[in-house]
Amino acid sequence: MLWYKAWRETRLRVLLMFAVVIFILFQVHQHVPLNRQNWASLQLQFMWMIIPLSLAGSGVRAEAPFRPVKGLQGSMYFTLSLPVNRLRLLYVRSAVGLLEAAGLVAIGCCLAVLAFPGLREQITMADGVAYALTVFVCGFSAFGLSTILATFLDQQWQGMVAMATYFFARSVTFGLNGDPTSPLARFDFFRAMGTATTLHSMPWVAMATSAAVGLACYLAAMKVELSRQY
Amino acid sequence: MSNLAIEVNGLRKSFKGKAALDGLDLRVPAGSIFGFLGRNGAGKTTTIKVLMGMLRSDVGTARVFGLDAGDPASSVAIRSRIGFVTEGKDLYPYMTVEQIIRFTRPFFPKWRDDLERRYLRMFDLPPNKKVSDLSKGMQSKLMLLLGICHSAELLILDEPTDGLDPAAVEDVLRELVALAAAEGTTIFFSSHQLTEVEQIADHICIINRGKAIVSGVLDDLKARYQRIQVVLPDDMPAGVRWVEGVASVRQDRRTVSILANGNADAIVAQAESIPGATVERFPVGLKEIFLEHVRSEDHALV
Repeated sequence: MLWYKAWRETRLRVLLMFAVVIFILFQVHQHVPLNRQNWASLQLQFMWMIIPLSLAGSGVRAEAPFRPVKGLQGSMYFTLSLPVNRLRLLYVRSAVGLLEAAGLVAIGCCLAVLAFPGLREQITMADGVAYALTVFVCGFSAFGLSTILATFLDQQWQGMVAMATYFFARSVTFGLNGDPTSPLARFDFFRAMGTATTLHSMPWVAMATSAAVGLACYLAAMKVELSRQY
Repeated sequence: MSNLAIEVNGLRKSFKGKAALDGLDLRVPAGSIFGFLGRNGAGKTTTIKVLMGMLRSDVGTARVFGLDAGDPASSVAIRSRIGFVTEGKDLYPYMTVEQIIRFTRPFFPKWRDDLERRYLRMFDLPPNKKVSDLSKGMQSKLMLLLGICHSAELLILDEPTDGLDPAAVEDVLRELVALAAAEGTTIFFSSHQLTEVEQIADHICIINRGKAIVSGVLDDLKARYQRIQVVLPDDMPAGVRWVEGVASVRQDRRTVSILANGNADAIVAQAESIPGATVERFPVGLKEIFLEHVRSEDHALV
């Protein structure tokens, strides 16, 4: 039932993100001739969807009232009174958030290929899957980041701070690592998401880096959640 | 095996250096209806949160059914045996009454369909209405239904009648008493409403500034406390030292009002020994006991 609850609480967000995906594709369809070289940079946009979506992984704090008001507690205490341990609450919400993110990334990639007939001739299905996997794993860092932020920030700040932090990290990485021939470039998961990867050129190092960053954040979030008092 | 549903020893909890609980001791006998009284900020909700595993105490122990409430694994086991009505009564606003019942039921294997049907009917809860469309009173009733229907051995109710109209309050109180009598459920409820507590509780604890200041069987307390009114022919003789058991003395001209905490007979005898004094004694309500203790604590601190 926790799965059902997490889906009910995030489904509107999923629909909104889906609408954004469609909007981006439509805009690009109108203005940019998509080809093998630039399609990945379009897909990069989908990464940003992972951030708000992954707020589904934020645990029971998301149920606190939007603004703390005397006498208004949100459903947080009801959830905490259920005979469920806190980590399970966090896992379920995270899993639902990840599934939603994965679904949207996959749908975004599929729609891009479907929407641009020219692209279909240049990109194989395997390349599309490889790229979707790259975006998903490289976006896992954003998921971890927003999960840890959401464990100690109030609801109204979570998305904004996660987005700002990720954008800041992207700018810093770009500044430090602008040269694609730099030895550090292969760790750059932001760049990996903007590169047209194929099944034969998967950015494994960047993916591993993002997975490690995301996992570290997620483990920290688990620790915070376990020690948290409500 | 202990016959205590809740046992709290020397519980302390501070928030930013301010003590919310200051060495609280509490014993709630299994099967009792226990009224937990105190002013706003006295520490009632903090105590309940510690019992529910939402807060950890700084010092002291809190045990429910003999299990440590501070241990995460025990806390899950404890919560599977507790029905809880939160202070805010907030449920998932996007679910209907029926959906939230279907959501809650799988967490509790001993869910009672007969009780569910009974309380749905009694509380007149519309199954297809969204929680967000229910009045505060209806939400309280729904939360009570969710707490009761899983055959909880202990009901913890934080201000359960807040937002209910007087008729609904009567219904709820009557059901709580019936539940305790029929199922042996222990009911632990915090409240400001002293008349409600007096109506159904058999045990009480008054908490002030994080400490229990009065605790025990309500009938015993009411028997122990008495108001003794002395009307004097002249002004009060100077330097009267009252015998032991006088909780407070108030004087208005020639009328002296004494609250006795035990030893009432000796106090009456002493009053009657004053020449020309007329002495009467009256039973004391819970409100008077509560106010007297809370005020005298505050005066002592000042």
